[in-house]
Amino acid sequence: MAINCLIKSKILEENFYQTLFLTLKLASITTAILFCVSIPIAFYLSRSQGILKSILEIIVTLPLVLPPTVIGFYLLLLLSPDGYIGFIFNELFDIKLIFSFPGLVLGSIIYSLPFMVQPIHAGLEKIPKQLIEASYLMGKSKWQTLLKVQLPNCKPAIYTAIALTFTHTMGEFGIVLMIGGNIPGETRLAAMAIYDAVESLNYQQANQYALTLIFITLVFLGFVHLWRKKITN
Amino acid sequence: MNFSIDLFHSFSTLQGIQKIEANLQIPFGEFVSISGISGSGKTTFLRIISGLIPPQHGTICWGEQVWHDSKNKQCIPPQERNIGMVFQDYALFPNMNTLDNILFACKKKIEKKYLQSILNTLGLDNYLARYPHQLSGGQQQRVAIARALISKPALLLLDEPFSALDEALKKTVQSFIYEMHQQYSMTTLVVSHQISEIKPYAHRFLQFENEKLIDYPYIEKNNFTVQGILISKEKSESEMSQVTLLYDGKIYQSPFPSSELEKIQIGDKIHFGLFL
Repeated sequence: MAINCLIKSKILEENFYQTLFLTLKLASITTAILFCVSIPIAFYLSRSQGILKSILEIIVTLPLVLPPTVIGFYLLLLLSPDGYIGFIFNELFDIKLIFSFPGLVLGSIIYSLPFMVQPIHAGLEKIPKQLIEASYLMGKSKWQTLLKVQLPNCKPAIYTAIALTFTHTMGEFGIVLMIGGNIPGETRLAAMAIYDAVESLNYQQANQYALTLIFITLVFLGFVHLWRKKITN
Repeated sequence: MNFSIDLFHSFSTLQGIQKIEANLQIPFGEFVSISGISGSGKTTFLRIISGLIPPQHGTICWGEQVWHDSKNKQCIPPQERNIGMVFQDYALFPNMNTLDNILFACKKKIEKKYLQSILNTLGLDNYLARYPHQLSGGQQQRVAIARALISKPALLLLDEPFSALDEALKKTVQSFIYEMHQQYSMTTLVVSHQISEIKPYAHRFLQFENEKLIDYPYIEKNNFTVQGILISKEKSESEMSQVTLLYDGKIYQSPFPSSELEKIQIGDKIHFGLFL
């Protein structure tokens, strides 16, 4: 009996760390990919005017206002082996997107896109036009100006974007439920684990996950706040 | 070789639609003063010729190189124009210290001695590690001047470059800019509210009047020229006659080319030299 209890608690502990690790892994990968993807998008939005910009802005904002289940539903259709994206990935790279970690990454990227793009876009727009013009007059190209002048001068906005994306991805639930399922070690994230624990009335475990998420988020936001403060000073 | 400008541009401001019209030829290596009342379009004019704003109509040619031709939709970007510019609010990069701000403007490797001479003359040696927010207005303005001069541009555009400098420093900076202009044959265009600052150096005085950039034919070198109403004229046997003009409620006498005297009548508006 005692051995059984010990084994059970050991398995629970392993599951806990595994779920936590997977959650952090997803948040880190999503944040890293979104950082690279969002800079060109934010740069384009900050420079251009007209209908294309408006369309892109609406597309980027969409995940903020739509229920996660709506996005999750269409992602489910697109990423399934019969869907356009799922078929391509399956045929070309032999990667199954639905109910798998790569699918979760793709879903998180789409869902968290506005959290990365919008603060960087706002940061780039705030930079005085004359700084950019001065750089051009010094012979620097648009990309050199972006890398050497614009991005370094909107560091606080970049840190905010990273913090928002990371913490938001950590707490993702709706999309994960729709396209990831709840496979331990594969697609089971902390938010799902809390839901499961509450369903089975295991409040102690739900509390353990919830407190850990709050702790990680607070520590992360604290670091970002300190960085921002240091830069602003 | 000339810097030829023939352009028209209109833009909206809080006061309404503002127009700029300019048609002039500036020989390479000239030091040119640009003046005009606030909001007359001086800064916009500099931004147009630097390529930051494309003019609606006209051409801008640097010698044989066409910088802008609105008819043929030809436009060389600012990066390829070899221009050094001091912005009215300096436009220093907040993420770079003084030295990095200056070196950022270098298109190729520069001699240490040359850099040192610029830093020394502008009194920036002790502020190299400071960031723009740690500098006073005058220091920031000197960094902006050093940054514009460092790459020895063919065209130097200065927008109110002495506004934050004290009198003693102003003279040093003015003579240094003139020295650099002479040494490297930089064509220099200076926008200033105080013509007296540029008077000793300028070859030519341009002024915005009624939305047009007028190239004043000065009578005597180094005199600022304004538009006065002719009250009387006295022809002399020498090359220069004497005319009396009314300007700003005061009466002035000015020398005027005798050969031109027949062409003007009492009551005409003519340009004349005003000794400042």
